[in-house]
Amino acid sequence: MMRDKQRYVLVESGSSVQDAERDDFSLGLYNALLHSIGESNYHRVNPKVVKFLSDRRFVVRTSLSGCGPLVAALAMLKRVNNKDSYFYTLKSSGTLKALGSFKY
Amino acid sequence: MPYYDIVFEECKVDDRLSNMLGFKVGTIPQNIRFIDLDKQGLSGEKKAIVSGPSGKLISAANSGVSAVCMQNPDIDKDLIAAMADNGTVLCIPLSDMMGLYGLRRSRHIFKTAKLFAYARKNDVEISFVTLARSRSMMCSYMQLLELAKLVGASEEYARKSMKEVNKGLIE
Repeated sequence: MMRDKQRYVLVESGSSVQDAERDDFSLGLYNALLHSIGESNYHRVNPKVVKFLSDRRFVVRTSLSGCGPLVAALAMLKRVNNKDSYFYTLKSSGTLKALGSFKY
Repeated sequence: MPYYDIVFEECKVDDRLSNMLGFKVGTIPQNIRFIDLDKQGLSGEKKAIVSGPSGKLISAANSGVSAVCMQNPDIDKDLIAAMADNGTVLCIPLSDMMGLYGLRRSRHIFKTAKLFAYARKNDVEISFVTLARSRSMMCSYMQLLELAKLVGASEEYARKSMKEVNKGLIE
């Protein structure tokens, strides 16, 4: 079976996400992205929060072709789970490990 | 060559934030002036981004200001012609797009894409900047690049705009 190429995007959130809120936050993020990207294109992006690096930084996995729409959608998200926030995409990479070296 | 963005001083951008976002950030009014023609008149200063209703912007373009920022993205053929004649840059503030929601945002993207295509057809240079007034309206260089592509810019032109055109405005 052929594996799809994937891309990992390092994201910084404007509001902090506590350990206990992470699952709710991820679900809220998927819903907000669904609204922004649209139902007919969401499957192409197929975002998934795979790792939290801190209370503000996390990694989203997406398909290779969905990386651009995901980055644009994250720029336009200003509210998740009725909580004001904003998202900066800092770096994207083909491997999760490479994102750990981001120094800022 | 690094990427450049222009924001208002209210954002309080420090070195850490600008390095994190991947930009050299120029601020208003330290690096360039912002003149809103609804609130003040042209002061004769050339290094400025001028905003206002289309009718007033034509005289601003003819007076030789560096850039013009339209209040709404409706195409004004006379203004674009004046900008092409004077080499004025068209500033597209992407924070406007980020601040809208739903159908209004969608409509804004559509109109901005039409404006971008018309301006480029007439050889007007475009500056993609955030012109953010708060940190929540700022974005990283990757996001600015994708938003520029959303309104129809090629990756090559979006990068050129963020490097050369924006640098020309603030330096």
